[in-house]
Amino acid sequence: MMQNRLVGAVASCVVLGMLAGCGSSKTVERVSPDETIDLSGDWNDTDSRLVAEEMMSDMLARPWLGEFRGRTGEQPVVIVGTVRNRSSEHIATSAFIKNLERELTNSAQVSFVASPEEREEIRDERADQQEFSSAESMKRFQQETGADYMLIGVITSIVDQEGGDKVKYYQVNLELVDIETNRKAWIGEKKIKKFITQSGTKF
Amino acid sequence: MLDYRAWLRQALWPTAIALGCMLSSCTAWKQISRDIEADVARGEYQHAITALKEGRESYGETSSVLYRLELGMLFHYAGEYDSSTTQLLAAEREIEDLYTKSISQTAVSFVVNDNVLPYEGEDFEKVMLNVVAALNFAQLGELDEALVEARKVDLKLREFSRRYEGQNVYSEDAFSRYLAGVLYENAGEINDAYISYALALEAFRSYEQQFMTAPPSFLLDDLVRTATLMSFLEEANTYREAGGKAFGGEDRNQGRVLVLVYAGKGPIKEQIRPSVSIPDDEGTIHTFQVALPQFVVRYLQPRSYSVNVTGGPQSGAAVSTNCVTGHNINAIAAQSLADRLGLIYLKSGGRALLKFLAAERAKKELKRNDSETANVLGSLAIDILVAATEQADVRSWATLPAEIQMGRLTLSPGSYGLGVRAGDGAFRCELKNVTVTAGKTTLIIVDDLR
Repeated sequence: MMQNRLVGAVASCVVLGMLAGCGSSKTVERVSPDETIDLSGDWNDTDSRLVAEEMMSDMLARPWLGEFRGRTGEQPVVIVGTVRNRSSEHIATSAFIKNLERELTNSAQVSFVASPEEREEIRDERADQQEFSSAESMKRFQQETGADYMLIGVITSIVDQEGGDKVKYYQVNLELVDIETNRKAWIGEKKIKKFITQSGTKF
Repeated sequence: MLDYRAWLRQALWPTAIALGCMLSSCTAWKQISRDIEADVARGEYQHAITALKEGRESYGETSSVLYRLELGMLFHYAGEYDSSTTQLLAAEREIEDLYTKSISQTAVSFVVNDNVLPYEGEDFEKVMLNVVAALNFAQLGELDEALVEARKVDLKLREFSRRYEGQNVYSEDAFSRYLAGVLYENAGEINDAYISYALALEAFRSYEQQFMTAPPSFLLDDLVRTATLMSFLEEANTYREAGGKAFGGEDRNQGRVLVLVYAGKGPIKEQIRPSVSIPDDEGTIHTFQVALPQFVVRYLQPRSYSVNVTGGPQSGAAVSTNCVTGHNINAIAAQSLADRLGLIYLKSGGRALLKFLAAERAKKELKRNDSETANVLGSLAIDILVAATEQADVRSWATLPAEIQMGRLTLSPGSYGLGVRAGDGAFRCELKNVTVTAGKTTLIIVDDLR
């Protein structure tokens, strides 16, 4: 009788085991956007935000800013150009660029102009105003502020993997280039290293 | 003493019912796969996409990766590159998660069959999903993203090389290396392009024997060109002496068109049931069957394709080229499966033997039953159960083409008309406004999945 129960239990385990993979449950929890949550080990919002904060803080603390102000008596006008993704994963560089723009604008130490795509949209609006807006509120052509510097950069990564262990190394290089002279006013670098382990087994 | 009749009552029948339910869901996807096959052959991709989506349930959780791969490929054929990439990258994430093996599911697979395990794809399929995603991005003009996929391929191939060090197995991918070279060169990353072309040549040379895919002649031209652009003069000379065209002067103002032809239906897995006979202590021979997967080729007569210029700045010069095999998926698939056939044999054989012994024992115990009818029915039920549970895992990415052929033309910058024809006369495709840019390679995808 005991053996029968045992066999029955084993068979039940087999059936339960087969069904185990079928179920799935999902929970949703609201968290603060500032909270660091690392799931896959890929580049995420925290990386984007922290790199932007640290690199822009470094950039604004360097001598080029004082030198420009001393020379012109004005705040430099900066535009963010392209940040190329040369890593082995898809990175939302547009979100990273927005983080850079936010840090620069909120610092109030530099002026900031819209990107080429944004400028096109604004120019369309200005052209539209020439036809439909009142003379008092209409904005004029050829009054745009030209940028003094362009911020460009590249994100690269090196991945080393052995079984379930993975080391990811990201390097973000940003350069501030004087648009008139092509001279590089500032070069910044930020590195991130992550060690990711994935278990080979689960129940 | 164990009461086997009670065992049958308590364990066998519930298990049989559960297994029946499981097996019906395990194989339901096959019907969907067959249904869409004809649509794909006719180029009716939207119809196939609808049919596949309607059959999503048939794939279940265990074949979710397979569903996404199939759907991603159909979207790719249909020119819906964003949707294709979404599915393929989701499949890739699921495959990564499957690195963690479930002990309970693995244990069940030793008792039932491998269909209870989640499908994570053959090695070549894992690479192919990035190749298709790279092509998707390239078609959308998102070159940086296409290069991300090319780098992922590199990471995977490096991992395979480490894993299978010294073994003669699929661990390099000549076509994906070549494609990476084209993408790097288009992005202006000439050094990376040169390295990818060199790796592609090395892989093609080993492919020549393994998969009967010789290096395309234009690969040497690419190596000479990128080596020259990098001022690697010694390497440029080596490749020129090997047959590559010299690069210089006016060549810098030329562009290229690379036509990729998806030819024929890719291979599918089918089940074979070889019999194994073993004698017992009394000399009686007992025969039982194992179920094994094998790839079946559906593209039996390889076709030849040619590309010719039909309009544009050089239309009068009768420029044309014959396509060559760039990726022999039929051969690679067969090799990929053969690489792990030893393990499959071992597992299937062990499982079949266990089931056979258990069945023999159960039948022997049934004979103690007074009712002969019950004996016969019981034995029959046991045989049916054993046969039904021993099923080979025949899941594979069936919507892939059998091979990818490549045709390359070097042209002056401008807008061209191109004609692609199959040698058997049953396929012809006219392409208009193919833009050729100096120093770049324009990628064109054509499918003939008859």
